[in-house]
Amino acid sequence: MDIRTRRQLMDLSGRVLAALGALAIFGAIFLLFGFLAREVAPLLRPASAEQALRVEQDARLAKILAESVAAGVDEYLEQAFLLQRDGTFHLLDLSMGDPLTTVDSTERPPLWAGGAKASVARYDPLAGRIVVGMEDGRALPVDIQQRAAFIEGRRTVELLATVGDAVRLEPHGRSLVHIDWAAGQNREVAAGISEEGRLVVLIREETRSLFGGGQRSEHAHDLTPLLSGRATALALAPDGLTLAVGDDGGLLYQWDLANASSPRLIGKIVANGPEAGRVAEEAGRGSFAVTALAYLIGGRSLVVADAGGGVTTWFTVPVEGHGQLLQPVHRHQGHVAAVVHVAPSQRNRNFATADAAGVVKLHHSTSEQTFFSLETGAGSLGGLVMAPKNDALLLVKEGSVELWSVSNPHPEVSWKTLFGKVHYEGYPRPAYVWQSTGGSNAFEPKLSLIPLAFGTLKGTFYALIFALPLGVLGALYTSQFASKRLQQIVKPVVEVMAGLPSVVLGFLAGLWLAPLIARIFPAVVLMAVSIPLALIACAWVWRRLPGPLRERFPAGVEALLLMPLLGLVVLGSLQLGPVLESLAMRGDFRFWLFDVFGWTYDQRNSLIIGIAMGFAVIPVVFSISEDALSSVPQELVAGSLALGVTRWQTVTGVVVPTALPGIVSSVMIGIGRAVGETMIVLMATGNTPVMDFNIFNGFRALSANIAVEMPEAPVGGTLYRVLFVAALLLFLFTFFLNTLGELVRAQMRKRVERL
Amino acid sequence: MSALWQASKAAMPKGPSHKEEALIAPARRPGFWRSGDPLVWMSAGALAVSLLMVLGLVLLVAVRGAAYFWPAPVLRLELADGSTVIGEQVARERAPAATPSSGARHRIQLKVGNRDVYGMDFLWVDEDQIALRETPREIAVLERLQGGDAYGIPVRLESAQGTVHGEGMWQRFQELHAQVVRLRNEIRRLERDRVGAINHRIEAARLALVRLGRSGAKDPRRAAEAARQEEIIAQAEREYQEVLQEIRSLRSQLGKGVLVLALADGRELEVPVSEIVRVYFPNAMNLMQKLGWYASKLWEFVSQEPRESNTEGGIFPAIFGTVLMVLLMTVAVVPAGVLAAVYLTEYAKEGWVTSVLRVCIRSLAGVPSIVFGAFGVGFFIYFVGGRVDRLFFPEKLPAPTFGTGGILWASLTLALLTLPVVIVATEEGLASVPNSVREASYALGATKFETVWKVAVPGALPGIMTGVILGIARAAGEVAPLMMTGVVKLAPELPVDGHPPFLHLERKLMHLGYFIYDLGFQSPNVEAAQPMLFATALALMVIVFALNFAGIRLRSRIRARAADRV
Repeated sequence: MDIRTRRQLMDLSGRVLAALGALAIFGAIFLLFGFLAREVAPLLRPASAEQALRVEQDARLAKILAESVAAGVDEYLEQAFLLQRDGTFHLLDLSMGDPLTTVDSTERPPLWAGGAKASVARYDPLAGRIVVGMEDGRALPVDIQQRAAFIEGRRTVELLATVGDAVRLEPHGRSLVHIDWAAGQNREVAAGISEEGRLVVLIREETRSLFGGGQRSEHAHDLTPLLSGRATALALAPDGLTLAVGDDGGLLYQWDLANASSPRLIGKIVANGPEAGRVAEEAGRGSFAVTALAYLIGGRSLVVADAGGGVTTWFTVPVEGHGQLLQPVHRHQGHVAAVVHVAPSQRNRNFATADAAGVVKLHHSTSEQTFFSLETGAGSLGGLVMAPKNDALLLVKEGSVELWSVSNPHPEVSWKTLFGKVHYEGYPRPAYVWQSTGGSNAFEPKLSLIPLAFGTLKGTFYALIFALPLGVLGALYTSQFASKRLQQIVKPVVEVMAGLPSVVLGFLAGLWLAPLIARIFPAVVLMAVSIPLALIACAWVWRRLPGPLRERFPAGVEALLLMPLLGLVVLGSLQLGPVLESLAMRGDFRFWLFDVFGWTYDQRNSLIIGIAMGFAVIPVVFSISEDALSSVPQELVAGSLALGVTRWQTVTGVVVPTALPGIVSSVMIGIGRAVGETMIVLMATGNTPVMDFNIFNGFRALSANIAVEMPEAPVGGTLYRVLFVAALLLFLFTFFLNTLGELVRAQMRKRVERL
Repeated sequence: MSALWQASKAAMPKGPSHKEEALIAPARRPGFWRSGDPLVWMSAGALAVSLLMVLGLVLLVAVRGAAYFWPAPVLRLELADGSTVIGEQVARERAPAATPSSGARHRIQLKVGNRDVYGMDFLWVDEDQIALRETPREIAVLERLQGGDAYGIPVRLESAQGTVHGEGMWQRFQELHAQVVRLRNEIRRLERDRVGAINHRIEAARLALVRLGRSGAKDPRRAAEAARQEEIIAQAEREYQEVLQEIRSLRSQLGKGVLVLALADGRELEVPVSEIVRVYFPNAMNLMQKLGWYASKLWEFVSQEPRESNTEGGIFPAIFGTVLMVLLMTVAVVPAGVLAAVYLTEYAKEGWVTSVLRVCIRSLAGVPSIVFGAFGVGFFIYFVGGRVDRLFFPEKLPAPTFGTGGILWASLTLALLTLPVVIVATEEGLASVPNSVREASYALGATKFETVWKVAVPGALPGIMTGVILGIARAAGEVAPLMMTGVVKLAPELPVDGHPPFLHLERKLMHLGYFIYDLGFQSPNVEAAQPMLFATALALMVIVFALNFAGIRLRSRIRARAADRV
């Protein structure tokens, strides 16, 4: 290759390489944004469901289905079971490719002998129990477990069933049409409704005496006389302490079963219609019969569905004059036909409902979302079960069994739960709450970004209050009044300040400044007043100094002269602080703050953050402001001074207005710095996500929250993605703020050049 | 600043002077407030406050950090109630309950040490309770491997050769301790080098076995290979047992000799010689000895590993981790940053594209570091790292290799973070190369490529250096993105060691900034850790300031050069 082509080639490749470098920068920004968005996107993806499997065979399957009273499916979606009225199980192998051959014909021995027939059964997958109601009025709990076993490396699912002791629930031997069973601490409770509408409860309690001897007692109650209508649905809270019953008049009854010998009716509440939630004594009755009741995981939220298709979630809330009463808190998209089944999720606050027309909907209680509505074909469903991992719905129909696979990875997140007030279980009213992890499986993550954004803004606000005057005025002084020597000292000091690692600032703020201020708080209050006063006094004295004495000092070194004076003021304030505390603050400023203002004082509070983060913001504000102020053409200043205007008037009338865009941009870039600051807020606030304007309380900021929770968040989980939402918000906010700041600065530079 | 401004300033040093006022119109002298003087003083005050704060902070860290190594005198106090305490004074403050009328009552905080005996490290003593204050020369401070420092008066040394009191005790102790130090070093060498090498071999063989098992097939050659690997493992296990035996026998030689201290309250504390790091008598030291001690402590601080959950010992691994990470970051950020800057200044036509790019780059500089951290976790660790693991390290799964935080990902995250700094500085450097130089190059027939890379870029080297140094300074002080991408409080191994491939990019690392965060906010005994915290903060500040200072000096030189050319 001759040298010319080589050089040309080199030239070309250099151009390409450089362009690639620039492209890489664009790429990096896009990647940053794109990737954050990619991680957030699944939160917004709507849930979906599709039919995955349909088992439909012959008359025999139809007969089995007609006879079955309960159904369930294992967590791998490999095996479904059907419990027959005669106590036998049928298993369906869902993992086989050809659904037509999947009915398992090997019959197991029936769960109970003697040919008794079940009239009703209720499967509680969370407790792993089916409670069977018999035609003779007995109730029989059966523990059910679908366990995966590995045989020669291949996974197979076994169904284990253990039959408990039957109890005679209906004393007259009548058939049961609704039933529930709960096993709480030291007690087992059965409740049922008989074919003639009788509501019966049986509580079996084991009281343990101090000396170890256990005593069992059994209490049967017939609660029918307390009903105003005919009972149509019931549900027992999993701890066995609350019984909820619905009747055909649209009333919901809340019973307290804590005292086994005398259940107490806490309230009769209108379940639906315009008066829903009010007590029956005041508002009469509801519009539709209650048709299904079910408790969600955690045992606090109760789903109430009615003949009019309405679906609501209830939990106890303090109601004036009535104590803790069940109230309709979340309303969900209803059905057209009467709701016949409610199937709670085993993992979260999801639940599925099915109506008489075969329409199935999936809801989430807290976020009030309804994800989809499935037309499963004409005819009522015999059963509806949510798969253990929420990834499928098992539908038992008249002639077939269907498995619908469900994709709904982040049900608890919606715009409303991220940014709105949400009424969580156990809270008296809707609130903004961030609480991402809890102790038990039943814990519901509360992911409102509002308290965190509030914390970020609170910290930024106090930091700016501290940093803006110091930064802007300092820059003003440096650029307009300071001598050249002083300027040469100040600029490197500010660079030092800018270079301070924020972890050092955070450590000093959290471990040194916070305890210090907690000790000398009154002196700090004094300083806030005495320093400006001392400065004004200084100006006054200076003016009255004889001219010759004044001229002995070089011009533009006021700041240096002030430093020892300020030192003295600080020392004096420190000495007088305790005096102030004992005279004006009754000897202890914390009590005084609380007594007079009702404020509590946290050691790590927003004041500390204001100072520490202010420290980080001052250099940003200072250097950009200083840059803008000293770029004001000197002809303007000189012209103004020549007209006999004082220095200060020149500054306020000429310099500041010209440099204003630069100062504004310094504030914007300073805000950007404060908003994103992580280590200082992480180390010097208590990191409690409270919403409170009090300067003496801490907060939790978006940035610190990411730092704290990201390492613990399971990849791809809801918390992980919500943290990416926080990161994306921070990114967009600071990026736009900085862009705006840069544009304003550029604009100003152009204007100044024209002057 | 222009000459005109200087002149106007000289003419009017402080508002209109008395003479001028008299000349113009005395009645027009503005009032105190309208003159703006208070506000001038206020702005001067704002600057003064800022300066005071910076100086105060730097002094605070410098003094508290540097004091950590100084052998402070140990006090022996007899209190009014007849009890005695021994300890180092660490703080003095106004007693909280004191009313102003009762006068300035103060209390002092003593570090009493002997955590295993007293269950605490610190004690507050009211000054008016002190009956006698002295600094006896015979008080010894024992730095121990566990339980923090011990303060007391050595009374005897018990060893296999019998008990020694008084004069001979010290000499005997020196001998015993020298032997202990030798043994300890030997044990550490064995544990780190021999055991490390054996583990490395076992791990390699185990992975080879997994690979063989993965490719299935009962091929005789594979079977032979598998048997060979099994043999390697068995061999290594045997060697491991031998080394273990050796370590055990060394350990058994350690546990001889007990130094008995008389504590302040008359109790005796037995400290095994094998537990002692070193002993010194601060009250008996002269200035030279103290300086020597200071130097040796300082050396320990920068060269040793931390002890006692990071509250004692040195910070060498953290310094090493910080430096290595920053170096890797530099390797990643410089080519990209320089190329981008070269494109922007040398190749691209000035227009809206370059303006947009410039604004984007500056805005990127303002994006919070925690956002880069989140990006690093999501993109580098889980997205890229997860794929790398599946492609190249399937035999280790489900244990992640690159699919978890490590020095590579931390460095790349920081590289992204510092990219704008490097680009801006390089641009500035390129702009300071006068166009006449480029034109001269073209005039000699050079191509664009030659002009850019052989004339402009070398001329801009100081600018590039500035950017790199400032970037490094920012990266060295950054913690938030690192705590998510691979920094840990205590890394068992350095990322560089003697086993191939020598530089282990997947390993976790220690970092000065995170060390401070962890020690200050996650450690169980924060108060005892404070001196170490200040010392580490000082170390970090010294590094960052030195880098910043170098960067700023370089930059101002370039600016001066550019200004000269204009």
